[in-house]
Amino acid sequence: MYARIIDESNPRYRGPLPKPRGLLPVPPEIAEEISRDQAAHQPNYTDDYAKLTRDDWTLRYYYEGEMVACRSRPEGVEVLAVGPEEVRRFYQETPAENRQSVMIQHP
Amino acid sequence: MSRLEVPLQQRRLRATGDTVLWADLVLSLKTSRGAWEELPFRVDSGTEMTTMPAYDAKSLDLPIPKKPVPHLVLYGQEVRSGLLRARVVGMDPTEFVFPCYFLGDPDVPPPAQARNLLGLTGVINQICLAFDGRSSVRSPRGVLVVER
Repeated sequence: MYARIIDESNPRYRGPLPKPRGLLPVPPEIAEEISRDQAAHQPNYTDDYAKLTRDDWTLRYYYEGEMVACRSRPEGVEVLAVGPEEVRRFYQETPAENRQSVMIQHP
Repeated sequence: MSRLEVPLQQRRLRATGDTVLWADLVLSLKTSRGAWEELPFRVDSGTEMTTMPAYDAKSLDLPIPKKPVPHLVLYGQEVRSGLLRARVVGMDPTEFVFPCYFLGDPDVPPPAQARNLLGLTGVINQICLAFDGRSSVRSPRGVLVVER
């Protein structure tokens, strides 16, 4: 059975954080940690893997434990709807051609 | 044969310093209207049956049974036993039919710990799933290998 680990020492659980929509800003500590890891694990830590990790950690930083509709873009991760009701409304009201690559995530 | 390597993802737990790993496989799912919607599933060999929140399935217009299975409860939630018509994103366009338990009331938001899980039953007889933890140019932490 899947066991979800909640790390309550994450900033997400230590007081309110902004809930940005659209392209999420990457927190500086995440950018720095990924840069360090990438330098330490050459040549296998590629730019593609760094982006995958940066998008996941950034989404988790702001929205861990919530439901979001989001997609990965070249510039980062884009959040289009937050919370069950908003996500359902988004899928009902947004034409398919405007939500390509959008996925429901539970970060 | 079609083959896909999905990088294992990682995160570091601040509380312990441990680096934990996982693999998400993105499936493209056929909706009631014949469209396709993409959704990530956590690959979990400890899970007997593929599951996803019924609320999410309804939001995506996936076909789900109207009534829950009597006397069956999973994680404290009612169960609708149905099917996912799926393609594996990144592989050839073969359409698979995977059994799936849709959990909870389709009109009640799922609990915060909800996640889509890809289990063994009705899946590994159609696609081979294997974890390879050796570092490679695909991923410093290894890959999930998917083969048909």
